[in-house]
Amino acid sequence: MQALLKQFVPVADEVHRLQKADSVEGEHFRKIAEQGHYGGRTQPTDTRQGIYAAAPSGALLASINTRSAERVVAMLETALEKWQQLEQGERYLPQAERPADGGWRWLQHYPTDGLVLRVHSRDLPRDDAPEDWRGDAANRDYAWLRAAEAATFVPEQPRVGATRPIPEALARRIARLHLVDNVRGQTSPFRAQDVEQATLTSEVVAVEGKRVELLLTGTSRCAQRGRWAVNGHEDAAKPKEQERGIAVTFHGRATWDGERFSAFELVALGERWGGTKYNRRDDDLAPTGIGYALVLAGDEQVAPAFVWEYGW
Amino acid sequence: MFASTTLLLTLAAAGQDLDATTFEHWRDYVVPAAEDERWLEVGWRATYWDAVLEAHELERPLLMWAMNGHPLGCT
Repeated sequence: MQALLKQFVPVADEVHRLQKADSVEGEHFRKIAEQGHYGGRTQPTDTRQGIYAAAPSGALLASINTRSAERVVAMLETALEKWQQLEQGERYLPQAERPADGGWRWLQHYPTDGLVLRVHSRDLPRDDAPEDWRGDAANRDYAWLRAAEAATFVPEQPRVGATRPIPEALARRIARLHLVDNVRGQTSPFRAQDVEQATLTSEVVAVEGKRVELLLTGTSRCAQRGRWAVNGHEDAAKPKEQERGIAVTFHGRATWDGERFSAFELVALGERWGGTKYNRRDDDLAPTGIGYALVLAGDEQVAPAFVWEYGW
Repeated sequence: MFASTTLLLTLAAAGQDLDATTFEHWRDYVVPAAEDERWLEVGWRATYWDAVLEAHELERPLLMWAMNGHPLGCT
């Protein structure tokens, strides 16, 4: 598999935006996708998610939507055979059709001088964990904080023992957009009215020059009630009364170097209950343990799953 | 206050306290191990159009992993 992959330029991206974007990159992706495995499909959804091998021109080589490594390998081999059969003129776009800017993206809001966190999520240990992939499922997201927001973690007079609650709006954003039950699959953000509690407080535990060590503690609770489906397309036509929620306590530590965080680790531990259409909790609606870890991201630039709710 | 107290009691009963003494244990439990992150070794580019341009430059075909929710983030 690794040897095969080296013969491609691999890219991963969010499909919904590309399906809808009125941009050069949106048009390019749709050209490929409509030749692929879901081309023209509208039911049960119009998604074009999957794996596509294509010439840079947009000529499809092969495509598939599967979790099977063997089937992906077969698809890649087919794609490379077709690539060899293409004429040079069929492989590439004319230079005039390759602008440097493919169109607007959320990455244009990437907080270069702010705080970018990876948000890991995982079920806590449980006796009734499924023996299939759900038993050790985990997910990740990204949280973006602008520089001014990151600075609100630091008490204005950073003396040992000084405390500062982060602004309510930021605590609520973290609670409703990042502490969601995405462990087994895609879910929805909580609505503003679903946030019942969201507090996060920093306390200075050490100071050395400009360097400030912080202890982070707090709690959050979001709960939503209403009618919706919890089993993909199986019950989509027959939504029932549901409740879902997340309640956690926070404990963390961070190091502020005077201008930005050089270390940031925040753990949230608690309970999740209920499910949403695609998060694979249809047979697991009762409360069980869930954990999150918010840690400094590397240089990867991936927009938060619900970035449109940021209001940026 | 009631909600947070109830939660603390629930976590404590389940042996899942979160405090200074258990913090590192739970951080390491939730953050994936290096072995679980090997899929990142593929070198996935995160921006579609940048990869299209790179594929032209390198004269290679494009491999696109497209999901509802960014595959390198939350999906």
